[in-house]
Amino acid sequence: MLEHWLTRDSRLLTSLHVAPQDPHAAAREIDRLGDHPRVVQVLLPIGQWAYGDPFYHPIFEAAQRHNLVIAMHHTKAVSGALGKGRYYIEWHVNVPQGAMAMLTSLVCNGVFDKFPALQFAVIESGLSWLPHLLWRFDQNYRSLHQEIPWVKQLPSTYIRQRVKFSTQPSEDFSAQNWLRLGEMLETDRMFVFATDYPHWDFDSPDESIPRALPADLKQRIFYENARELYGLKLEGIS
Amino acid sequence: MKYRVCQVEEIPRGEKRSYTIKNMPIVVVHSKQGKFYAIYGVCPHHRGPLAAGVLGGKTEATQPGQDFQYVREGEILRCPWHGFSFDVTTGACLLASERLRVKTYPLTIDDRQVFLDV
Repeated sequence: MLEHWLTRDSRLLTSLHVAPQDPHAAAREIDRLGDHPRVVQVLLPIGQWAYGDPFYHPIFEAAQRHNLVIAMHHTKAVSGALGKGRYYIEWHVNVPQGAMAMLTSLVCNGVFDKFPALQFAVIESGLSWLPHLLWRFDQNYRSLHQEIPWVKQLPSTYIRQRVKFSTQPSEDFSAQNWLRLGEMLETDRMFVFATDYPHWDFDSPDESIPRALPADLKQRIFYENARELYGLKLEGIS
Repeated sequence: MKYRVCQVEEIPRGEKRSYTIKNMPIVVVHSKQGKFYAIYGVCPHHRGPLAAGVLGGKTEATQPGQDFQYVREGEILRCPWHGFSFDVTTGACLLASERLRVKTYPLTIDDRQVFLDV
């Protein structure tokens, strides 16, 4: 990646892929390459492991040391609550369940307080489910917080302030519903454009985000939110 | 106006009792530290009966795996319906103090009688 692709276009930035099942080796890899000016995030698979478990925290410590974002993307290992289903479409529809479970794990195990500078990105798991997760999580936190007293803020506060979500796959909902979603989430800072090209379910930058959205919201989705997410690292090369 | 509620001896330290004062449900708490508090007996979340809640404390720990400290025992009243917890000294909901609060009432003790100011 570093030798073949980044040399071809100065606009390209990249992720560092690590093996989370060996967190100390992953941390060594992050220390080895994390200061490369165009490595902006560590990419972790969403599949069989929940990274809130302190076992995985060496990865977060290393990422924080190098001002890297923790990005997460599902793998084939992810499944819905009832398994993968009989058809590919069942699995594909249920992919966001992995992201929801991951966010639950990160919040409940105190990752956001333990690593206060870390920012997160959830890639290709959708975002229209967020109001449900945030509302349900806050309600449960108010009732059951005594089990997790190290979690100091409402779960929605951590997620709203520290996690960004890629727009692809954009689910083809209307401009009006985009605006409703922003209202329900009380922020326009959680969405970052992603294309996933050339995968079959990719989003076109010209077609997937409704043209009717206000210009300032489109500016947030296409530029500013990503700039905010990777800002710490990008300061070094801008 | 002052209303007589009970005798001091009726509520042992660390316990609570419920009363109806001026047609209002009131929970009177005698804290482990020996202080008396009175709060309105209806949870502002879904109107659960705080009189049937558990009077206890709250947990503290800074990270997973750490031993819990149990603090403020006898000052936190937990609603029996959804577990929302209230600080009996202020009426504030522990995790939604900006939105949810129960009214507290001043108490006075005179000749071992507890009086509520409404």
